[in-house]
Amino acid sequence: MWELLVINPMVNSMLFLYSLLFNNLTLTIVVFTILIRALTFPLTWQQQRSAKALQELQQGPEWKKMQEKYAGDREKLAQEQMKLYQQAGVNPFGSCLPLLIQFPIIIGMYQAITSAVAATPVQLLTLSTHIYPFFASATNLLPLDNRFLWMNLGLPDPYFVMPILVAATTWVQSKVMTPAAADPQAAQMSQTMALTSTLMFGYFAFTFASGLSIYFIVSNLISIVQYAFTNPINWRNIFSLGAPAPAVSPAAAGRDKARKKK
Amino acid sequence: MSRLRLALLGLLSALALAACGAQPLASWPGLAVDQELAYVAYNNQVVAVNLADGKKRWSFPPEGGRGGDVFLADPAVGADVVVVGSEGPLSSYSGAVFGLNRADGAERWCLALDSRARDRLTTATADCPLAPGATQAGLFGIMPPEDNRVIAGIALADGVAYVAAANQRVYALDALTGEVLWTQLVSRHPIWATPVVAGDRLYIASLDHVLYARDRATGNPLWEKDLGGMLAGSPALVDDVLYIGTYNKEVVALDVSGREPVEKWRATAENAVWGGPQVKDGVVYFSDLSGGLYAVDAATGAQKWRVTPGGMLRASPAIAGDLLFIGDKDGRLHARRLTDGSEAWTREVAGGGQLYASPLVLPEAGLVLVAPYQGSNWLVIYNTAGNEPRAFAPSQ
Repeated sequence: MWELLVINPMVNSMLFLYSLLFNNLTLTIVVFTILIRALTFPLTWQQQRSAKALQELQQGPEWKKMQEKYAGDREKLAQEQMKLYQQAGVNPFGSCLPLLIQFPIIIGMYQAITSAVAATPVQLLTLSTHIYPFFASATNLLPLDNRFLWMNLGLPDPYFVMPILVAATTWVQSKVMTPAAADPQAAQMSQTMALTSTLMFGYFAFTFASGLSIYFIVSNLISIVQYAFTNPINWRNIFSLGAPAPAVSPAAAGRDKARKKK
Repeated sequence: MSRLRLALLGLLSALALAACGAQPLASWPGLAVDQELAYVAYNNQVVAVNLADGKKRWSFPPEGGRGGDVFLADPAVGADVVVVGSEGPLSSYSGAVFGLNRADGAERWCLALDSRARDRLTTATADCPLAPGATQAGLFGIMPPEDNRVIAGIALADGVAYVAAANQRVYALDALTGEVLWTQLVSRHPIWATPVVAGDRLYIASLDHVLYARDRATGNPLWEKDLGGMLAGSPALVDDVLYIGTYNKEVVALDVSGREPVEKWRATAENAVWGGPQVKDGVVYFSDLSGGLYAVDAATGAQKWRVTPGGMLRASPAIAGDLLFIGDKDGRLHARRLTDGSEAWTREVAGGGQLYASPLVLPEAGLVLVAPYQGSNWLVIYNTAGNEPRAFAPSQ
C-alpha cells in the first residue's frame, strides 16, 4: 500500500521530470521538491497559522494572569489552559499534526531518491518494480546521471559540504520559525528541538546519498520563504543559543513607536 | 505543547533509528562451480562447499581475517586458483580483488582498487598493492566519491582473470600472481555484467547501454555499439553471434564475426531483460523482469513460446538435457521443458529467500545449484529431478 500510494507515484514523477529537465538529476530533485512543497502548502500554511495563533494566545495578558494565579496547582493550570484554548478557538495540536503528516512525504522522498539513483543491483531491481508499465520510455532513462559538481548523488558527499549546508539551513529554519514561548519550559524545549533537528538532519546528510541533501536544503529554504510571507521573521534568533526572543508583530511595533513618541 | 514536541522528537529519533538500521546487502550471492566444489561469495565470506555432501571445505577470509569486505560477485575458478572480487565493507564502495588457493582458500594475492582498500587490507603480514589508475585519497585523506566495487562476475581464460569494476575499468590480471597485465577505462557508467572472453576478444556489457569489444591482449578498443538500453547482464556467444538482453525490453542478436558488429534481429520482451540468454540447438532462452520466460529462434528471433512460471525473473536460465532451470523472486526453482516451456517440476527453495542469482547446472553430475538471497541457506543443491536437496548454511 505504501509503495502503491507514495513510492510509485514519486518515482515515476521523478523519472518523468528527469526526462523533461534535460536528464539533469539535480534539477529534477530541486523541481520535484518545489512541487512537493507546493502540494503540501495547505498543510504547512495551516501549521504556521496554528502556531501563530498559539503564540499570540500565550503572549496575551489572560494567559500570563492565569499562570500567575495557578502557579502552585499544575492540574488546575492545565484545565484552565484547555478552557482558554477552547474559548480562543485554538487547537494546541493544530501546529503539530500537519507536521506529522509531512513525515511520510519525507520518508517517501528519501526512498524515491535512493530508488531512482539505484546504486546497487538490488536497488535497481526494486526500481524496476516501481515503474508504471505504461511509462515505457522510463527504462531508457536509466541509469540516471548521478554526477553533480564533485558529487555522486547516490553517495554521501565526501567533502562534507552538503551536510554543513543541510545543518545550517535546518538551524536557520528552526530558529527563525520558532515562535517565542512565554513558558520557559516550552522555550527550552524549542531550543532543544532546534539543536536536535539540526544535528539529526546534518547526520542524515553525512550518512545518506547527497541527492537527499539537495532535497533537505531546498525544502528548508522554501519553508523559510513561505514563513516570511505570512509572519515576521526574527532574524536575531539565528545566532542565539538561548531561548528564542519574542518576534515583534507589526501591530506591536506600531504601538511601541507611538509610546516612544509620547 | 511540550509533550507533543517530545512525541515529535521521539518520532524523529525513531525515523533516524529506522534509517540507521540493518541495510540489505547490495546484491545476491555470487556462485561458481567445478566438478568437486561450489564456491559461494556472499556477505563477508567466500565459501567452498563439497558438492558431494554440502559441507564446507574452506572459507575466506579465515576467522579473524582482515578487511570486513563484502563478496557478491561470481567467483572465477581456475586449475589452482579462485579469483574473487569484493565491494569493500558495506556501503564503502571500496573494492578489491583476491586470488585464493583452490585447494584450501588461502590468499595468494590481493589487489586494491583504491587507496582505502589498500590501507584496509595491507597489514604487517599481508600486502595489498594498489592497482594502476586507482583512486587515491586526496586532501585530509578524503576519498573522491568513486564507486570501486566489483559487482560483475570475474571471467577467467588461459590463466588471465578479467575483472570489470563499477569504476568503469577493466583489469586483466595474471590469475596466479595478481600481476596487472593491463587496465583500461572502458565505459561511461558502472559495469555489472561478467565480461565474455572469445578468441582474441573481450566483450563487455555496460550500464551505459553500450556493448564494448576490446582486444584481449591489450584492452585496446575494437568497436562499441549502443543497444538503446542498460546492459546489466552478460551476453551469450554462440557461433560468432552474440545474444544480449537490454533494459529496453529486448534481446539483441549481433553477428560479431567481422570487424564491426552486424545486428541480426531484436526480440521484444514485456519488461527489462537482465539475466543473460542461453542458447541451445538453435533456440535462445531468456527471461524478463515481468516473470516471462521466452524461447526464440536463434536465426530469426521469432518467438517459439512464452510462459510465466511464477514471480519476477532476474536470473539467467540454465540448461541441462531437455530441461531449463530458473529461479524467481518468490524463492521457487522452476524446471521447464525446452520443447514448450511446460512445467517439469517446481520447488520452494529450502530455507527461503529470493532466487535472483542464476542457477548453475552440472549436467554430468545431474545437479542444479541455487544460491538464495536473504534465505537461511547460502546454497541448495538439487538433482535434476528436483529431489535430494542438500543445503549449506553459514552456521554449519
